[in-house]
Amino acid sequence: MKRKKMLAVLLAACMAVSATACGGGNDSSNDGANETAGSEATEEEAQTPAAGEDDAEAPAADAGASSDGNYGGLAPMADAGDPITYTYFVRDPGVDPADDNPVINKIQELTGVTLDIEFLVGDLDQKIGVMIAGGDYPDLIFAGDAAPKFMDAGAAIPLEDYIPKYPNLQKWYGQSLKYLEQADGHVYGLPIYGWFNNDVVDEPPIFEAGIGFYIQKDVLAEAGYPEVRTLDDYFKLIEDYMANHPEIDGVKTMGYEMLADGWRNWSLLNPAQNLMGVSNEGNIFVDQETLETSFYQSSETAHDFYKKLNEEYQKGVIRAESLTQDYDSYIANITTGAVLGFFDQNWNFQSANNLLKADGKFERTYVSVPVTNPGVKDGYIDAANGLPATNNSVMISVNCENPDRILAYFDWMLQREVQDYLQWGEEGVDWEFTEDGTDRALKPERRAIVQDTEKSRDQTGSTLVNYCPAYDGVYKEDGMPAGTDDSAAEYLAAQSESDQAFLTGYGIEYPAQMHSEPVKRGAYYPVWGMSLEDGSAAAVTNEKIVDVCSRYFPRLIIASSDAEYESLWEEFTNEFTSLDLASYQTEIDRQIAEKMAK
Amino acid sequence: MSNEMVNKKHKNIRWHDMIFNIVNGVIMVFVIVVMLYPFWNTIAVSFNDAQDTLRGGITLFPRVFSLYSYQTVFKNKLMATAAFNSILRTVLSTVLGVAISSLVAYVLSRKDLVGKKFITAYFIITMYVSAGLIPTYFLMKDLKLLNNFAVYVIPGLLSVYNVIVIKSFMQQIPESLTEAAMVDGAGYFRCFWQIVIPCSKPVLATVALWCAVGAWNQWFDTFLYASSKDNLTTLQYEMMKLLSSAMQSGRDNSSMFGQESQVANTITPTSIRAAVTIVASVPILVVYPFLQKYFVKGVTLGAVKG
Amino acid sequence: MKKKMKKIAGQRVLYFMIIPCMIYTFIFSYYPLKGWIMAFQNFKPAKGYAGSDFVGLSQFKFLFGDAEFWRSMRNTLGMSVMNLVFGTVFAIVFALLLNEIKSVGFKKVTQTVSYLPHFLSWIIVTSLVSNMLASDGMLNEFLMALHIIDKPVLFLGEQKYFWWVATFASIWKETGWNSIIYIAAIAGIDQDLYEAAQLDGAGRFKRMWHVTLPGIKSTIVVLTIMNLGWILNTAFEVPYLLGGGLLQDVSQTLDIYVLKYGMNIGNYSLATAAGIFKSVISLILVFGTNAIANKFDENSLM
Repeated sequence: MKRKKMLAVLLAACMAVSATACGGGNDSSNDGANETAGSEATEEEAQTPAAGEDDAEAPAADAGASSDGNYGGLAPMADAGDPITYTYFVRDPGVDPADDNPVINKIQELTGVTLDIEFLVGDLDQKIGVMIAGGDYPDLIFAGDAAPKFMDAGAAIPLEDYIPKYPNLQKWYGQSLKYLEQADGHVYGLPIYGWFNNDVVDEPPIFEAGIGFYIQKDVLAEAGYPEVRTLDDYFKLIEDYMANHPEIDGVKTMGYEMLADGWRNWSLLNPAQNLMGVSNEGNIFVDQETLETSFYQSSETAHDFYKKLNEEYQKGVIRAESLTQDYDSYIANITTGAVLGFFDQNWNFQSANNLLKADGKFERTYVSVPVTNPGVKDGYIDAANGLPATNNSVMISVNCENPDRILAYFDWMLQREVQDYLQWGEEGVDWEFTEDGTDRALKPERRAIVQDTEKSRDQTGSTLVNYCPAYDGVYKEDGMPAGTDDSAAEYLAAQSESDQAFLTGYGIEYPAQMHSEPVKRGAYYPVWGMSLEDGSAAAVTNEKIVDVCSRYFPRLIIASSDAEYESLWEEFTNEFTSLDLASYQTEIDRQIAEKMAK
Repeated sequence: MSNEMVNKKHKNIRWHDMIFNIVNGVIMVFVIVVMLYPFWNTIAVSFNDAQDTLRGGITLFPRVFSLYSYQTVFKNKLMATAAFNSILRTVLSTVLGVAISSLVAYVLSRKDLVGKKFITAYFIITMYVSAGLIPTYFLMKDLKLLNNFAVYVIPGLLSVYNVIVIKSFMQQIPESLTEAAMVDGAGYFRCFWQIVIPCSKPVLATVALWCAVGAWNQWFDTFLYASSKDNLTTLQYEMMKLLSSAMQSGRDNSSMFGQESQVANTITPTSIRAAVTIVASVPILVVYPFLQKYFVKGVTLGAVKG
Repeated sequence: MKKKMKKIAGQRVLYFMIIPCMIYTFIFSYYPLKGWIMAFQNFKPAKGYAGSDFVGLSQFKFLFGDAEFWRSMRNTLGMSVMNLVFGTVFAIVFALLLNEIKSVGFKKVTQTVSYLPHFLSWIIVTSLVSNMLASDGMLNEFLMALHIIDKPVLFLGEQKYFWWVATFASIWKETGWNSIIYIAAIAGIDQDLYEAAQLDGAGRFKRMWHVTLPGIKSTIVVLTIMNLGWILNTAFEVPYLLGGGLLQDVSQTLDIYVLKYGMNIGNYSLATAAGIFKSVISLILVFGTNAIANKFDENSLM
């Protein structure tokens, strides 16, 4: 459906993870009371229960004192003895962490601040509509893509005068403030994920491409680890493998699967832009040199791409059912290991991938290959461009009675020690340094917790890392990864032997190296992140583009003859070009120019 | 007509009856199988391991038995509050809803009511006009119903649809019954209570069922008007919350531009949806047998007359 | 006039009962309709009714000038009419047949089972439907076993099947539930009438035709008229969940259209305009059919 928005949601969720990756202690070591797992903090912990039983008094007594009464060296905030609760609306669905979450309780105790998070249930637009119309805002708002609506409605307080007062906030956001300014010159939000220029960390490494044409590893292994650059290469490999293996584990081999179920429609709509050398841009193609925009949907590339799919359909490489299947069947098919390739985004088929791993079928898992038009440099992987996105921001609403206290809390959270505690846990208990001391990795027990959504929510501080300012990248001071997703050691430790053999086959360290170097995009990037005015002609066209394309592309793919294909294509381009494309294009051009000018 | 002919005719009828009964029985068994399957399948899925369910193909029985989805549902600390609120709103909405609807229906079913056409139209129109999301929100705000338990009961008290259904039923009651009572000196209210209500039991039972199921299944009002208060949460809302977070968690721990973190989710939308469906619907299904006796057994007006 | 006043006075108990309900209805249904003013504005939640710009009829012009809107209208009407006709017929036939079951236990079980699917969400039902209609699904295997077809039919890939799929999906889910009111109506028929008919020597079908059906006729008429008014509202989930891509031309309904071009892009005004349009059509249909029904039977809507 609303693709731009869905993508934004996804990206947001995804990026939350690169910033996230969950920290905190395991439960035995720090639910404040009982036995500690022989950590060096034992003695200090022995004193903590007092604080735990009576937060009003104990932390206050500790306040000015040394680290004696503190947990793992974390100093409590001065007003920790004066509890305060902030209501916080988050635009993601979610579940509250367990009441006995040791990390969150500990942070609460050290700061006196409780975040009462309301997760989204139901439709975001409806919720936001009534919230804004009624002026009924919580203290804090994380609205993602909808952030501009709150800013325009005057729901958020300006923050630019506050930030310099808090040293950690200043270090983290100071360099980027001018990019967060709205048209009225104010800064209304603090980005809570995504990497941008700052004084604390360098950009995080990238291990895998998040989107692209995926192919089963065994297809590549059997063909001797060839380079795959074009659609012809890609489908040739699949066809050959299919010919050799008409069945895989008793299931009829499925060459190339598609998915066009509701808003999960990118395998149908997006690939042409990737073939032209960009990543996941939006509904328009932007030439990276000239910044000129054009519509890839009706381009020569699109014509040839759907023609190719049409041929593969005729050959039986693409099953007829593939175009009508729902998400559940798509996933069920991939879990059989009999699917050879598909175009997708990593997170979308991850559950199937996990199941293949659980079954020990590592050679049946997938890798993204850099398929483009012949002679075009692939651009599937984006490097961080160092610019923050307003839409990733937490805002403090005009209804918030004490903005200073929450900013102080965010500032406190941005201490290196707190971040290490939240994102990694305790050294020696939850994680340890690598032998050469240049990196760190989780211990297996901790990894198991972090990899389980529920356990990580209930036992670690992941909720706080997700929805408060947090570091992402590699610390400048000592080269240590800020989050577990930023660690090469951690990435490699989580790979199976089969995966490692595959990497050796290609002579690379990470799958991302099958692609060209990550591309640093212009300041405008990406188009889907731009907000279009509600109900404007551009917004309508944006919807219409998706609509017309998703009506015609499947029919092109199943066309029964070349003649039918060509006449359908002509019908499509006629209908497509008769849309009010100019309104959309002009608006995008305007926003590109505006952002590039900063 | 000779005796022989009558006998023959009766024999024919009995013969027809038997064929009819067999055919009808077969049809009903078919209906049971077809209608039971979706629910049965949902139960099977709810007891199957979430990861395994992704492979598809669960039909009648779980393949890898697991209670994990239910554990996830019941782990929720708000379950007790939610269940209490849901039951309370259901009971209140049903009792008040049936009472008010039947009262209005009774008035509208009086033939000689002056202004009857106007009043009926006045009510009917409201079924087909809706102010929309934001104006309705403003109304609730103006009436101080936001974050207030009353928002679960008051706005839905009078369903015109139910009124019209009850009214059409009441119009079937022979006028002679009420007229006789009126002549005996009974007022409108006594007439309503002693004659019309007892004759309308089947339709009132139906409307009670509609009210109960409607109130029970409602989550949208919690979402719009009471979501910021944990103590006002409802069962359906908690179920929705759990389900939407399960749908989200697939995305949560991965990265479009970074590496794949290898999250093995122990819950999936399909499994959670199945468990949630069972948990949320079984309590209301229990209501049905209590009401069922009113429709299965017909009404004999003679009993009221006498 | 005087006579009328006297009559009203005599009915004061009735007015005493109904007037509070009319006030209630005014507050909850009529008063918020002032929000319809949004349809003539470019409404922004942050600005409210007072601050939003008036744009006259341009929202309506957008709707009526959009080919997609009319295509959505066609699909909505098509699916709704099929749904209304088949849904009503199935529910009535089911109620009639159920009423003929002699064994009380069997009757109760059948009825209870029949309304179970109502409690499942559409997404569960549609996913079962799509399994069933898949090329290796039950229906195709069944038809192939009977040699009616020799290769699987893509039921969800061809436009001509879609309305039928949608209709039968809702029959599957809702027949039992919809029949409850008819079963109640049958239960409301005076049992003496059946006895009388039996004494006249009327057989099964005769009793069904001459006693049961006339007994529930007014319920059928009233429900049908009321449901007719919602003809532009129905059929949301099935098209939404089963009818993407290839089927979009025949599956997009008015509600989906409004969702896309109204709510999704924050255009509350368009959604309101579409709502007004639907209300007008509904009221015309309801009061029109009611007037026709009145000619045949005085016990219609009002």
